[in-house]
Amino acid sequence: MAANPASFAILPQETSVLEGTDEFAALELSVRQHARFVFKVAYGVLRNSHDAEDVVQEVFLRVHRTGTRGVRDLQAWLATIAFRLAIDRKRKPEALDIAEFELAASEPDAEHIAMHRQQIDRVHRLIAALPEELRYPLVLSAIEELNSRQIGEVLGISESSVRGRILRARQILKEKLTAVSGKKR
Amino acid sequence: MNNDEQLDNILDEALSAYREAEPLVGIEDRVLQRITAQSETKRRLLWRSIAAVACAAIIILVVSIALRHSGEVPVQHATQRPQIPVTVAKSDDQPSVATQFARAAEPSSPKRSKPRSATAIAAPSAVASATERKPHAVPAPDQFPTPMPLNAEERALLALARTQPEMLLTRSYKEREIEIPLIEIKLLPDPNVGSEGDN
Repeated sequence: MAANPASFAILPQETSVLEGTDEFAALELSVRQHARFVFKVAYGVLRNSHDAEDVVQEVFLRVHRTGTRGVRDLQAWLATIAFRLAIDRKRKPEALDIAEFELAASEPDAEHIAMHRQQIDRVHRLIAALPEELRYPLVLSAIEELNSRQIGEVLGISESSVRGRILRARQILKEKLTAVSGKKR
Repeated sequence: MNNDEQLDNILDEALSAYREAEPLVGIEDRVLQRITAQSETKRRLLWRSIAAVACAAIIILVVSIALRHSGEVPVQHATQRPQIPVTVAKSDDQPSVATQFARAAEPSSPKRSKPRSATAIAAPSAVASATERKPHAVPAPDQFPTPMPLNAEERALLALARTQPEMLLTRSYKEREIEIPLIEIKLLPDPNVGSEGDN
């Protein structure tokens, strides 16, 4: 489920002394290159576009304060900051209630679409219900820009652990989906 | 397509939501705007604090200088006595007594070449104390009691004595001629003297 894109004009900014400096140019380049990626990381944890955007702003404010000197993998570093900030901001996940899943449409095509949507929604709920050590590797693996090594760097675990946890998370989700489908029938 | 593949597809489709998540348009500009605004705020705060510190330092400096000057007792150096101009009276252009007094009342300084203002002439003692004032130079008295500078009246008297001593002499003669009434002192015999002798 993508966040709703809204098109609204950005008012011209006030000219600042900061603008025009090399430092600001580097920061602007970094923001333009990585803001969307950072947003995806935050969104993967928070599942809320407004909160995720707040996290993005906070991440780049930190980058502005501390600088990026000594950072080897900027993408992994940004993802780590975003992930930690998002975790701090995260509210408690909703409890999964399988009984509330019901078919709504009566028309054959509409019914099929509705069933498919419900199934996706169900997967999201199942993902949200996963334990954190399995959920975060799975969610971060969905972001194309991050490889297993970088995910391991973000989570503070080894690359092999990341792969293992992703496989285990997928396995659990499949089992639960099968169980839910069996109940429905 | 078997069940496992179907589930994989469903999972991938669900996970694509994370992959395709997009922020509201213009997130980069909003981020940059916030960074700029925060930097501006910080800089303004820094300048304000610098200005406040500078003002406080100036105020402290001014107050400390003012306190130091107000608490200081004007001390004239013991060795620097005001030079009294002694004008030798000449028969041709002898200055009047009033001019001599006025000159004597002024503490003259050989270095000073500027013409004095009316205030300086009107209050010579104040000018003298102001020029002689040194913040930390409190002289150690080499003589007790510490010799004090002559005041205006004394200087005027001295000038008069040097220029026209006959005026003072005449006056002293006159003072001598005044008869002082003498009261006769009668010594009465001590009554105890006789009784002690008896014993």
